[in-house]
Amino acid sequence: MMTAPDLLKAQEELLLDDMANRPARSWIADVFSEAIRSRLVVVGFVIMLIITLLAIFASHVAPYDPEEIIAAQRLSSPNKEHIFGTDHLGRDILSRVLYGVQTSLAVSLSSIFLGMFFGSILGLISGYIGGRFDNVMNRILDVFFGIPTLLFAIALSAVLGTGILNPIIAIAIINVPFFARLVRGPTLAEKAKQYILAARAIGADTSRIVFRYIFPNVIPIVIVQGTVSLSYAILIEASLGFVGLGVQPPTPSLGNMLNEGRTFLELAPWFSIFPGLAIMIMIMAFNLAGDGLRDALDPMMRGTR
Amino acid sequence: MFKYIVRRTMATTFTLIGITIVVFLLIRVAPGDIIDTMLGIYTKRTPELIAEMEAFFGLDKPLYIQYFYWLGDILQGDLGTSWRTSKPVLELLKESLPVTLELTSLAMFITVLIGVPVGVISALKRDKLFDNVARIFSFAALGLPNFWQAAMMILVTSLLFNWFPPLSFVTIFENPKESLELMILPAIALGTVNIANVVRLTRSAMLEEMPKDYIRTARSKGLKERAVIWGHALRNALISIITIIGLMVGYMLGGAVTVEAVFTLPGIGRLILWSIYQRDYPVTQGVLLLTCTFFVLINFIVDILYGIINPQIRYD
Repeated sequence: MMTAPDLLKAQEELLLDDMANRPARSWIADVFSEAIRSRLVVVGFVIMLIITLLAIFASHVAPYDPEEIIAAQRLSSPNKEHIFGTDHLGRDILSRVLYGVQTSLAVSLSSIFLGMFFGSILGLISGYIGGRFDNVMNRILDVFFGIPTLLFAIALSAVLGTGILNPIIAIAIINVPFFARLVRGPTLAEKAKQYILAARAIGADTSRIVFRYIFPNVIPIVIVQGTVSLSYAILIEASLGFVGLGVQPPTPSLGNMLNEGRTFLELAPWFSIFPGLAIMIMIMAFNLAGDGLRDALDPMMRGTR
Repeated sequence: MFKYIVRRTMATTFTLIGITIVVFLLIRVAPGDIIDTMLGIYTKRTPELIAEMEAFFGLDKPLYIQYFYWLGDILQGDLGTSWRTSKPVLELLKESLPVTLELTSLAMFITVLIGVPVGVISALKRDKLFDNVARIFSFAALGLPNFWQAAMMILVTSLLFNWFPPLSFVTIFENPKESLELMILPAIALGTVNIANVVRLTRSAMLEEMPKDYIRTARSKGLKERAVIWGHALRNALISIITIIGLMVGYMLGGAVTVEAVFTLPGIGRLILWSIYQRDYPVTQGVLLLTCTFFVLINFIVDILYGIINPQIRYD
């Protein structure tokens, strides 16, 4: 019967063996193959891909013009011509949903990228400088964490206005504290490590240290949080649209459609069912993909570092 | 312990002050101010008139002086006057708060009532049918927008069961039955996402606790299995739940806005939306301050509670 230290040693040797004999691959390929292990995650990724393609090529896939009003066919239930039915102005719901998905993705992706970019830089700077500056920055971040997210989004919309650009700015602002705090932790941890001290000793300047050494350790966490935040951003964009503070009609937006559909809930349930279903599928797909990425990156970080 | 409380109090006070600054700046930056609202679009704006109005409202003073006047008013309970209805903001808040409080309390109650037992059973029957179904539901619930869920619930109850919620709001003290009838659907809509979180958390916390030594000891002492699970393991699992109470409250404060919009409940969520549509900024400000203060205080209480339960945290 092997004792615990023996078992550990055996495991370690197996791992080292495996690492040594593995063909050289970029770490991206590694992450991907690890992520695809779970079938559910694959489903998530595939759906994500389909959604993205549909969103990009919405104008080619959509059977009708989403803003074309055909009064004669108002509120018609799903049939051969209109697979999802029509809304109260006779517009085809399938086309509107496709364009709505496009809007959702466009707004969410842009805002997350913006938030990720500025938030990470803030976190890196704050973590690296440390000391008083970091303390003050931490307190400021605390303030922003004390405002419930959706309320903050609504308040920012009041200040910025509606449209398609303003929700992007609002959601980006909301995400900056998340990414700043997220990045600050690993930055502080890495800063204390030996190799940073060594780099400084040989005269590496600050920007080189931050971008070439600390930043790569932060990327996996940022990407994982990015997918999670992305699904949340989709939800917030839809919520803002639902209360009328986001993209304005007649531009198709899933939240808007749910708002318009409220009045006709019993007359035309399809008006409310399909946009909401689209939101739900988007969020679930991104959550699945995000979960898979997280599970893939965690052992990666612990195992092969 | 005392030092910990003092540190948390100071941090919370800083955060609250910071929030007042953010809310103040946010409202100042928003388009349209009281002078525009009072003058309307037809009054001719002469420089003398504007200067006079600015002096009257104290808007000619530097921004930080305005802030201190404003903060002083707030601390004395004067949250300003609504521009549209000329009522004190505090009064509007007092009218709307009970609705939202009832909604969120009911939602929290449902969340814990359903979430914890499901999580425990899910952990006990790991990977069996119940567990898998629960996990699928939890996962689906995370992606469910609460306003869509609300609409679907109304659809189902009105079409299949021919049941409609009562139209006007009564508090639970006036008429319990009608109040609950009114609130049950919105509370479920608001609570669903949190049920999913609680189920997942309870499940993983229980799975972590069950293999531990003290459970084995309790069993070997001859304790009934029921006492072991609910009395011992659950107690420690609940600690994890306390950590996410803050998150759940934060979500509910935001989610209440959309849920109240769907069910047309006259709560704080609807109040802030109305105030933004009408550009009635004192009300927006008041609601923001109230909700954020409440949120920060809840987090403070959770921190202290957690410090009591887990002594390691105190030396942070």
